[in-house]
Amino acid sequence: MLENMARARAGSKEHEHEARDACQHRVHFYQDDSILEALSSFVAEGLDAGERVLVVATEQRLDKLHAALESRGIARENAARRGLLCLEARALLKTFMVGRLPDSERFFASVEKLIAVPEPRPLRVYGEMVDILCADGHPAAALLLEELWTELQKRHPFTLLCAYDLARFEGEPELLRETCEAHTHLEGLPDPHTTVADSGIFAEPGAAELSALATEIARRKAIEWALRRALRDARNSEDAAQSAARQLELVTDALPVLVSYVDREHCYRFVNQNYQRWFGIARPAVLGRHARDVLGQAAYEQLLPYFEVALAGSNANFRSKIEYAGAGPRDIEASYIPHFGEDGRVHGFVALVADISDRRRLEEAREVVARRAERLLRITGAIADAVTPEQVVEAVVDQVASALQASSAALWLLDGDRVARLVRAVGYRDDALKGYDRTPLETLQGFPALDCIRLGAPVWLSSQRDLLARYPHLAPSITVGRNYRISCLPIVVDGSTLGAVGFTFEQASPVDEEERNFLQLVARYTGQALERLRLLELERQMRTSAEAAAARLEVLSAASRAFSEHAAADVPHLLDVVARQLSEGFADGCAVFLVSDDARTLELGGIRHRDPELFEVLHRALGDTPMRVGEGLSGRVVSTGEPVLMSRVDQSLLERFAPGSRHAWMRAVAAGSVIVVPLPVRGKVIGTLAVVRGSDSPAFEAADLRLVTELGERAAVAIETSRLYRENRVGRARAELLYDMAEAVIAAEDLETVLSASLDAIGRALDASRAAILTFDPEGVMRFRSSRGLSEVYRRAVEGHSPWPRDARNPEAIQVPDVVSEPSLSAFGELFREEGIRSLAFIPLVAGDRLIGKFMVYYGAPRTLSEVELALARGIANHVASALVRFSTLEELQKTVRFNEMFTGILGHDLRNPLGAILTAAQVAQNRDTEERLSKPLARILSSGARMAKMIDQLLDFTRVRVGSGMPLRPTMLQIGGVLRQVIDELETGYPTARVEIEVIGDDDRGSWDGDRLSQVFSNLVANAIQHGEPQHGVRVRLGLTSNEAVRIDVHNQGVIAEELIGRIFEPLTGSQQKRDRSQGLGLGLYISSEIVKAHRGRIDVSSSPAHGTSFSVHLPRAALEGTA
Amino acid sequence: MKRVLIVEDERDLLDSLQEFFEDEGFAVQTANNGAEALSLLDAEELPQVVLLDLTMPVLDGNELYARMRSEPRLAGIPVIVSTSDPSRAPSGVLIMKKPVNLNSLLGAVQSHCQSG
Repeated sequence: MLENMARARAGSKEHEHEARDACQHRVHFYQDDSILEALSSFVAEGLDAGERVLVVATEQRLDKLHAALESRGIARENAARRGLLCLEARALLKTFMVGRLPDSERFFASVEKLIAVPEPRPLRVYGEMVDILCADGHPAAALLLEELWTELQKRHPFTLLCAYDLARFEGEPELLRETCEAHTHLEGLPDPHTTVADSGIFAEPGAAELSALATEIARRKAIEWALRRALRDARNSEDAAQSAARQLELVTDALPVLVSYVDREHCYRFVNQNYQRWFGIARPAVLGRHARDVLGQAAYEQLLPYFEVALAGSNANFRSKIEYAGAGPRDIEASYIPHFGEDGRVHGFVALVADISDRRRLEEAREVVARRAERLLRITGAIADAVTPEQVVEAVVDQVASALQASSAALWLLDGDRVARLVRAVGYRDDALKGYDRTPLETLQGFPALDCIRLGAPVWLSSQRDLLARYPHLAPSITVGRNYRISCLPIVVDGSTLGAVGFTFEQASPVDEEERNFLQLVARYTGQALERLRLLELERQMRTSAEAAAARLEVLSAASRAFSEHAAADVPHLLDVVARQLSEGFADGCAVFLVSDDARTLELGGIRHRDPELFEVLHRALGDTPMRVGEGLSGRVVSTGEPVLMSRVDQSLLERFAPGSRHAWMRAVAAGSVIVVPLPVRGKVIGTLAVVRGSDSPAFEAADLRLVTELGERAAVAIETSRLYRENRVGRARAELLYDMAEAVIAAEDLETVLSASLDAIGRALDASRAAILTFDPEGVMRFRSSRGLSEVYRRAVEGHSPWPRDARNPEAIQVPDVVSEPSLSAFGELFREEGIRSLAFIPLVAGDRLIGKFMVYYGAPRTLSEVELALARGIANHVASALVRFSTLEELQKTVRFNEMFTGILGHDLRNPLGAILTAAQVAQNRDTEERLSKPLARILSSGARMAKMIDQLLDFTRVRVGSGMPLRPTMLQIGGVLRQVIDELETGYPTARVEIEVIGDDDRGSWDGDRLSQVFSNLVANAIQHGEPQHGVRVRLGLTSNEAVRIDVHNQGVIAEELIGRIFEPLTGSQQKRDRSQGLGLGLYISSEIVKAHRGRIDVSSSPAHGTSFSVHLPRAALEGTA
Repeated sequence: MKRVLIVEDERDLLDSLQEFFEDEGFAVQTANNGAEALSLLDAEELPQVVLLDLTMPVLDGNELYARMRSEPRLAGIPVIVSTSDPSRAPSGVLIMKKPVNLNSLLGAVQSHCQSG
């Protein structure tokens, strides 16, 4: 039956369990330890199936369980690892039992977390807490617990096995039935038909009764379930309500605000604990009381309007300061939230009230700080924006004083002399700070600001008494009895104190930390601002200085560029360039002076001024009368060579510098400052450069002096370069002129061309349109050779005049700068006037060191030739003189040649012909002389005539050779042996007693020679040998023919030629001085012989010694050159 | 009779030579200069030898010789040059240096007459 009931229950519970197969709620009734088997099987099955297993049992049971599992081969650790969790049943029970009943909330709180683990594995649970409850006499609690388990199963599916000791149900069939009905599966019950019947426990009535009983039981069960549920629900509700109420209290008590519920009658229905804290009334005592009673009348009246708003149905959110009774005045922030009932009416409102007094104080304090910060920002902004120290000081003194509501403020700054200077003060009486405006730091009796500066630390004086205590000496200057405090701050930058600022606060509260900090911050910013401005100023000065330096550099480079561009210009133009450069941009006016050639005066070279009127003034003042060197500023500069800077034109200074000078020009141009520098060239000062600025222009400084000095040096170089360039150009022109002239002279083929070219050159070089060249004639009279621009009259008149004697050696040029003032020429005065000659110069023409003539230049005005011009004239004169000499030499030479030709002609023909006639006639006579009476005289005629003919021949040959015509040859092929023999034969005829031996070596005596000439040579040599040799030894002649190229003839005689003659033996006219007696010639024989041999390209040698005698050897190439040598 | 033409501007010399050759049995013609000689050579009967001086006015010896050489009828006449300056003589001609040895001269003239 019970099983049927259980099944029926299971079926009726189907809707409750929602057909979850896994959610079995099983019960096992056990007797003695049979549960152990069921339990260990339950656990082992679960573990084997991979499920989690939770066992809630008594400690003993748990021990036994583990032993049973061990016997199954499941060790404790292994079981735990596989998912077995064991909990002690009584301990768990305690966590959710409240009194004698399980509290559902607590149950779920404790147990649900064991169940609801995020695990995919299914769960099975064994619990015997219900059994314990039954054992403890709380079956209802057990049943309730069963319900809770069932509820839990609805939330989280798991299999649950409960266990009851069956003995507990003895005599309790209802309980047993209820217990069974609480489960889906029964286990362990004995067979009712046997065991229960026997035990009398389950005595079964008749079937009909049973059916009625079952129906009645079911009905009552249902009612009971409903009531139990209702009771449970009610209890739960009550519990819940109680719990909620408690929780509400807990929560609201924890809030730091007043939380209350006020009803329509303005009575409190709920308050949190804070009401007790605020108003000192215990919570229960507040409940139900009117708000007036709790808050106090004043507070209630203040809050009433908000009450009414909330009760009218609107949220009231407000802040206010409320005068609570008991709680005192508080700043509150409140929200009244109306509570609408289900009828839509406002039943009351929830009040949330926060005490914001602290917050308000904080806000107020922050506001103060913010205001101060804003003030500081404004002040520091003003300081940062300040572009001058004055603005900084004003920002610090005025604005800070105003911001802090100081009655007075003042600022001192330390200057370079360690004096504290008062730079600004506000709020003081006019005379209050007299005596404090310039105080040396070392002053014994100081004052707060001074001490501040000295110490580099703030000085805080909280009252007048404090002030007098520290500075008793100030008593006379203060109004006693005033209430004020003084704060002095040092202005410090990088550790050094620049000054101090002091503030006086009347009737003020003592200075607080914040104000101190503020003031110190202001002082620091002030220092930084002043420092920043100082650096800015420094930077500005440096930039200005750099700009000025750059501008100077630009002036320098522009001027240098201009100088070099105009370097080729002439000096006056260059000076103008210099003056212009400097008067455009750098100075207002500029003047350049050059020292005159005689180094006595300064002449104005170039002058410029920005203002055309002032330019006129300057030009007049300076140009009219040249200054003397040593006089005036410029003159002094030239003398000393030192530059002068006057940054402020001062009459007394001028007097000291250049006493006695007028300096009118400086006044005229309102000179404010002046610089005068020398123009130095190679250690000499060639002039000065002066620049002036008006009094309304910035004064010249040392840097400007350096610039102008540099410019002066460059200008001097440029001027000198220009001068040298000009000189160079002039020099070049002159050199070209001389070159042209030299070329013309060299190329000239006659003297007239030379003279004409020379006159051209003279005219160009000396700028003379009139000139003349004169030379000495053979009589030594100076005669005109060529002239330009001179009249015939003049020439005739002055010809013959020479300023130098005829035999003058190296005469010098003579200038007559002005004929009018030359006494030696006074005789020619009229002539000069008529000719228009005012000055002239005599330039000597010298050859070797002899005077050969002169050239003259004439000018129509007085003129002095410069050194350069004279040098040029001398150069020209040299060329002219050498040309004259050359041409005269040429003439002489030509004469000589003509004479020689004439001589040759005479000799050659005119002398010889009559001689020939004589000799021929003598031969004819000899031929006709049959009586022989005339033969000797005729023989003598013939012999002398022959000798004369020979001499003529020799002279002719000699002349030809000397003149350079050479020895004429007519070579023919001949046999030289024949020529030699013939000569010897002829000589033997002439010298009958002479013995001449001839020796021929070799066969071939052929060659190309001039036979007659060779005869001449042989005749000369053999005749000499016969004449000069010792007769007893005779003459030996050897003819050597062994060589193919040449033949050799040796003529030997015993006898010796004097040693001093040997070297000159072949020179003409040598022998004639020596042996006049035996020699029958002119002494030209050997000379002509040697010339003949030379003409044959041969040579002739001589050797002579006492031992070996004298030998002449002639070497003749077999092929002589045709023609002359 | 052997004929010889003597061309010489020196009068005395010319006379001596004429006398000498006439003494030796020659028929002698004389000319003072080359021009005269040329006109004499125009005659039908030509000399067998010409004795020629070089330095002469009007027409000198070299010029005369050149003309003789250029005229076929005169080109074959042997010429002996008598000069003080043999270098001025034309080539290929016998030269006798002044003052001339008369015997040598005679020998030379005779040999030319024989071969001519």
